[in-house]
Amino acid sequence: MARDSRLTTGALSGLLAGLVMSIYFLSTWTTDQGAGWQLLQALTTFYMPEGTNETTRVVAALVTTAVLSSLAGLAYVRMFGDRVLGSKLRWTILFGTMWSLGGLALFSYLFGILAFPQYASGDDVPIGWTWTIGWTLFGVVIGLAPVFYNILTAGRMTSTVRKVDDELHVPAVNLHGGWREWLFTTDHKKIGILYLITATVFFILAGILALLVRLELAFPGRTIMGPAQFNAFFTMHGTAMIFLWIIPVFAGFGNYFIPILLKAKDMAYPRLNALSYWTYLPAAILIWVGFFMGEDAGAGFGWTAYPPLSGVASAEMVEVDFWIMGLHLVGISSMMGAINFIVTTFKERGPGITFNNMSLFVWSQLVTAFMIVFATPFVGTAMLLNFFDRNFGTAFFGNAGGDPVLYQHLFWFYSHPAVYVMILPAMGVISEVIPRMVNRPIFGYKAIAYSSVGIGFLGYAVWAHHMFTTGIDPRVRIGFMLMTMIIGVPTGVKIFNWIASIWGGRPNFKAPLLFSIGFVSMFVIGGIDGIFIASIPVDYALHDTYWVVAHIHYVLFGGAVLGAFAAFYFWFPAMTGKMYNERLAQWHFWLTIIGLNLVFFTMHFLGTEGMPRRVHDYLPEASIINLNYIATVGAFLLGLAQMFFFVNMVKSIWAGEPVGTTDPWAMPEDEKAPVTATAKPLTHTGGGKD
Amino acid sequence: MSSHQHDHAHGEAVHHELSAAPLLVGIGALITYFGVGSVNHYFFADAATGKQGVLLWPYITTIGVAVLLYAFWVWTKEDALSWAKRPAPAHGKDIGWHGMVYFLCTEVMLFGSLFFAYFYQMGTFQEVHFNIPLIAFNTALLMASGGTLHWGVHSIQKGNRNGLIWGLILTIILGAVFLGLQVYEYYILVTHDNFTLQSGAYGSIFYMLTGTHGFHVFLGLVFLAIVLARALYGNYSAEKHVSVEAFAIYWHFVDVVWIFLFIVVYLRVV
Repeated sequence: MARDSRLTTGALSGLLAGLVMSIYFLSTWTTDQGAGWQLLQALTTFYMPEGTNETTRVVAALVTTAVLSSLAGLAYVRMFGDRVLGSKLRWTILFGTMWSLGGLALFSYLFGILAFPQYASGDDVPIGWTWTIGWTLFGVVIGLAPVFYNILTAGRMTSTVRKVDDELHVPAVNLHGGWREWLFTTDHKKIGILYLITATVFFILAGILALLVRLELAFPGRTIMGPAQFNAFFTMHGTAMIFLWIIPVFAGFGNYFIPILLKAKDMAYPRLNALSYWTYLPAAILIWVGFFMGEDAGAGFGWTAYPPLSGVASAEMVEVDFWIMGLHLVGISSMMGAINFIVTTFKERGPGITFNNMSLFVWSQLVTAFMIVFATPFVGTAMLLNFFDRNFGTAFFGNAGGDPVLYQHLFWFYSHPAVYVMILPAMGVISEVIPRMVNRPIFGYKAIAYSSVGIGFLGYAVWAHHMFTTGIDPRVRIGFMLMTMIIGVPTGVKIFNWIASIWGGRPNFKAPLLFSIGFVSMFVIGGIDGIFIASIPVDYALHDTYWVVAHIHYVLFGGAVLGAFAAFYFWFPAMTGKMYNERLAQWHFWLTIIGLNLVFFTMHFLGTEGMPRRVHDYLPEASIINLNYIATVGAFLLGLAQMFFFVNMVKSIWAGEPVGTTDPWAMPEDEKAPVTATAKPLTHTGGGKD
Repeated sequence: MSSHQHDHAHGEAVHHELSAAPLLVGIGALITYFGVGSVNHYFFADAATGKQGVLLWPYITTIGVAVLLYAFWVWTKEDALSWAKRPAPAHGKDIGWHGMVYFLCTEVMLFGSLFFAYFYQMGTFQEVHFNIPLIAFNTALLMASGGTLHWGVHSIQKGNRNGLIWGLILTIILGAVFLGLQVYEYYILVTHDNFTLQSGAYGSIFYMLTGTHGFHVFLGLVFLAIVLARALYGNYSAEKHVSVEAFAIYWHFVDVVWIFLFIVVYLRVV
């Protein structure tokens, strides 16, 4: 079976790459006569006659890129397909490196300069070569060191098989405990469950807000709400999704599974662990009370809360103060959780667990925790200083002498690492799920583990790419642009190792694997979007348009949330002792993938059409109306898809089929294998070659 | 095998303690944050009748802080009790010490963010006259307090409980005098130099930076007072004194931050 499936996988991954490349042509095509159009011309000019109409050219260009990339994929398989399954890990890594850095970052920079020369040459300040070279060296050393290390040691890679569920399928938490056992618990499993349930509630609430926002945008003019409500709704949507759903949901999985995967008795500080939950919930209450207390609407400045809108300009609004205080408290909560994760990982590991064989989920949570420890104080300071500006007449960001750009520095120094705080745990989940569901050891264990560390370091050197248009020093800007492109490298390493893990395995296409594959493909789109817009001239053109909304949602919904779903399904039997309903889960997956691409892919076009984000109305032009309508339909499909998830979870907790002593993820042919037959020590290390 | 808990490594049952302290801290934090958040807002105001409304924050915050204090007392009591039962680590430091190290990492970043703001705005600062001899004397006091605390820790490591107690007492006195002189310096700056929290970016950042440090000194004094109480009670021995060492490195950290403050903010060397 192996050879055929390899060829198919190769062709499919080529097609996937082709699809992704096509996005760029498509998404720039709509700025007609702009760069996308010129690139299309260049691409098709050598075989299309002059005067061919636009649509034909676009179709021809798409077909061309798809065919070329498929051929490239096939060639890659023919050349390296067999060897990549042998010991030639280095080729995979090199290819990933070239692909993510050479193929995309440089392309998008050159493309940006070609496309928007007016922005590229707009600065009078020359960009010093010392800056550029210095930044690049920093990025190469920090970001690529783990990659080079892996290339050098590729032959000595250990491969790690984790039969996690063999250990975990027994229900480990009594869901029916009395109320005292839940309120006063210090048990990491119960706290994890509390986190998961609470976060899911906020996911539902924030999702409803998103649907209302999309409904307002379905038609031009006023549809269901006025501007103030619109602002409040999208602000609360972003705030709740990021701070009350994505970050806490992975804190929940971390709480539940880190001690188990480390063979620790519990977290290092059980009561501090409970306290992180009991400060997260009050913070959420504070923010939501503010939202419902607002005179006619809650705080309406977007989840980034830039002053002066969130500062002196809204000093009268108590809900803004509650929002700020809530964010401060949720930051404290995540710092306490992070300290707990770190000390647990370093000091509470069970016998035989080392940094060379511990779960990749724990690896990613460890890096995440370090990012939280070293970044979150900045957002706390930003909130505190803004609070003083609003209430005590200080001049940090507003009033006479204050500088709002300082807020953006402080905020993004936290919030860019926070993007990796959201995505790294999902990557860890995927690294756990894929080998288990394809019945093959994870490919490139160390590459995946160390690239997380690379992402962790580089994550601190990219924050100002959110601020290219604020007029910061161009020398600083170019450094941040290069860093942002380089951070694609460790990410590319991960992606290629995941693909190599699936390659030649025996995939068990149940919901966890489907969501993992969904994660990889959607995250590739979102990630490339990110490298693309890192280019300063491109950013000038697309800043604050719907294009950015598309990017963030591909990364956070297509990435982090799909990862969370994979984790929910994968660990459901371990947490409840019952099996979820596979049919509902499949419906959930396919509707989610269709819905999310409908709504978020469409936003690329809205962005290149120039529609600004965070505005409640738009020009009644046919193309913008149609695109908005499509996005709204997609959003409601996406909302409908989540119903399958909620129903499945609730139904299966009460009435799911008990897992008993069988391995829930056994392949059909060895189904109902008794768990003792497949159980292996959690620390199994092959020691052989990949 | 369904409801009871297993030690994942050895198959022994793990007993998870129940504790109300985390929930209590959460409730206290919620109320306190509500109170602080509404510091400038009048509730129950009615524009139609012209009723001005009431400031509720003093009451809310007082209740919140009271709950918090009670919760911390419960927490500390539980801590002392559970800690007494736990054996000293066979080698290396107790995990409490490691937790403090990572907590201090967040503190480094907290002061880092404030220094970031300071350097970012430095070009706009006006001239302000600081009483450098007074500040230098204050610096010496804080450095001396670091020395006395080190002596105390060194004593208990060798099992000398009296040394620890006197070291703690001296440290607390020196720290309190430091705080008093800091307040005096603020008083002079505000009344004599008319340099306040509202004096532009400089005033805001100066008071925020030194005030945050002062707040940490204050917290350190509270921690050290708790440690002193436990030392007087006979909680510590040569083998078991992790909270002494943990709060000692906290205190040394606060000392080091002050050196940076002294050089950057007062001497304006940078």
